[in-house]
Amino acid sequence: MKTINKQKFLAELGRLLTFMYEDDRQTAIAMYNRMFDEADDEQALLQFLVSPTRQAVILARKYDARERKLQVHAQTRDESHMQPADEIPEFVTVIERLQQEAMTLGVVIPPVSEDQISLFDDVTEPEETPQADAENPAVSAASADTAPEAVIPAVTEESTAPAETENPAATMANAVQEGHQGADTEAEEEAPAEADGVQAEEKGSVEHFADAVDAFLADFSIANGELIHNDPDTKTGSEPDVEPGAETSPEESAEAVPAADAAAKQAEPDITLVPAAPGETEKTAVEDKPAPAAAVEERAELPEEDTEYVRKPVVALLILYIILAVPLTLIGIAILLLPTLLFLSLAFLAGWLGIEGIIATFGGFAVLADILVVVGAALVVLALALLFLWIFVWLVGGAIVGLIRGVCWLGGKWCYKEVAVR
Amino acid sequence: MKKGWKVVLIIFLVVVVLGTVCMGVGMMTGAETARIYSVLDDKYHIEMYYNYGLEVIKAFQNA
Repeated sequence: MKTINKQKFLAELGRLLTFMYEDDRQTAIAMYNRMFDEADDEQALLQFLVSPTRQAVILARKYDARERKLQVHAQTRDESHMQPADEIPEFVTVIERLQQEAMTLGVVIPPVSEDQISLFDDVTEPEETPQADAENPAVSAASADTAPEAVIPAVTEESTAPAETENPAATMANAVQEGHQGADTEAEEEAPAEADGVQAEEKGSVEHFADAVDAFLADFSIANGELIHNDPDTKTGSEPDVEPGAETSPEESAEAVPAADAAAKQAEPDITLVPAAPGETEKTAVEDKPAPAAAVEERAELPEEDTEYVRKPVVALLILYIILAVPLTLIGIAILLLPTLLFLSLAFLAGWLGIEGIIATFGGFAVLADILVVVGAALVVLALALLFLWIFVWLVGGAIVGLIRGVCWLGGKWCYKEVAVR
Repeated sequence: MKKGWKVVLIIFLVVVVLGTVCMGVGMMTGAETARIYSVLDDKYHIEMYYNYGLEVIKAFQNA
C-alpha cells in the first residue's frame, strides 16, 4: 500500500463520512485536520491512522444518526445555541481519544488543551490553524468556513488525480461518488460543473450516500494496515467497479455496516485505539450497534407482531370428555327436572285454587266481609302460583341451560389449547 | 333473569299484601270462617272429597 498525504487522507475521509450530518462531518474533518497540523511526522500519523476507510469505519460504529438527529433538534431549540458538555457527540470523543493515543505514542505533539473544545466551533477554527490555511486553503475551509458545501468538493478536485495512482481506496471512493463518470482519466479532468452536480447530490440525500459508503465499505476489509478488496472479481483492489450509490439496494446497505464492523474488528489487533473504561464496556456494546443493523432488527421483529393465537382441539381428550360429560349432564338435567316439574305442578294447583276462589266469591257469599276474606285468600294463592311458575321458568332457563353451558365451557377449557399461528 | 326475579317478587309481594289486607279488613268487618266454610262446602263438596281421600289412604294402608 502506497502512502498518501494529508490532503488525500482528508479528502478521502470526507467522502467516506457522507453518512454523517454535514456539521458532524465538518467537525470530524476539522479534528483530523488539527491532528495533522499537530503531528510532528505526517507519515507517522498516517501510519497510525492506517487509512481513511478504517477511520470511517471507526466513526461509523460510534455514530448513531437518529440519536444525532434528536440532539441537533434539541440544540436548535435551545436559544443559547450552546451545546452542553454532556451532549458531546460520541464520534468527537472517539477522535479525541484517538488523538490522545497518538500523543502518547509521540506521533502528535500535545496541543493547547484549553482550546480543544473551541476546535469544534466553526468560527474560531481558522485562527487556530493558520499554517493549515497556508498549506491548503481548501482543507482549512473544511474546518473553518461556514459554508459546508464548498469544503469537500474543493478537496476532491485537488486530490482526485494523484489519488488514483497512489491510493486505490481513494480511487474506489471516487468511483462511489462519481459513479457515472466511469473512465479514470476523465475523472482527472473533472469540470467544476460536474463537481457542483456531485455536491448537489451529496446534499440531496444523506441517507443515500450513507448507503453508498456502507456498500463501499462492505467491499473492503483491513488487515495489517492494508486495504483488501473482498470482491472476487477484483481482489487486487486496483480498479474496483463500484456501482453508484443510487443503485445500492437497502439490503446491501443494511449488510454493509456489519461488514465494516467485521473489517474493523479484523484490524483491531493492529492498533490500540481507546482503552475502554470498565463500566463502559456494556454501554459500548450497545451503542456499537449501527443504525442500519438496528433497522434490520426492527424489520425482523415486525412479523412477530402478526402472530395470532388459534384454539385447536385435543381430539383424544375431547372425545374422552364427551363420553364422560354427556351422561353426567343428562343425570344432572334429570335431577333438575324433578323440582322443575314439582314447581310447575304447584303453580298449576295454586292457580286453579286462586281462580276458583275468585269465582266462588261472586257465587254463594252474601256477606261482604266473607267476600273480602275469600278474595284476599285467592290473591295470596294466585301470588304463590306466580312465584311457583317463575321458579319453574328459572329452573328450565337458568339451571338446566346453565348446566349445559357449563359443561361446554369446561370442555373448551380442558380439551382445547392455543396455538400461535402467523 | 335477575330482572325477572325482581319483577316477579315485586308482584308477589304486592298481591300478598293486598290479599292480606283484604282478609284483615274482612275479618275486622264481621267475617266468620265457619260461614265461609259452609258456603264453600256446599259449592265444592270439600268435606266429601276430604272423607274420600281419607278412605283411599286407609285402603292403601290396609292393602
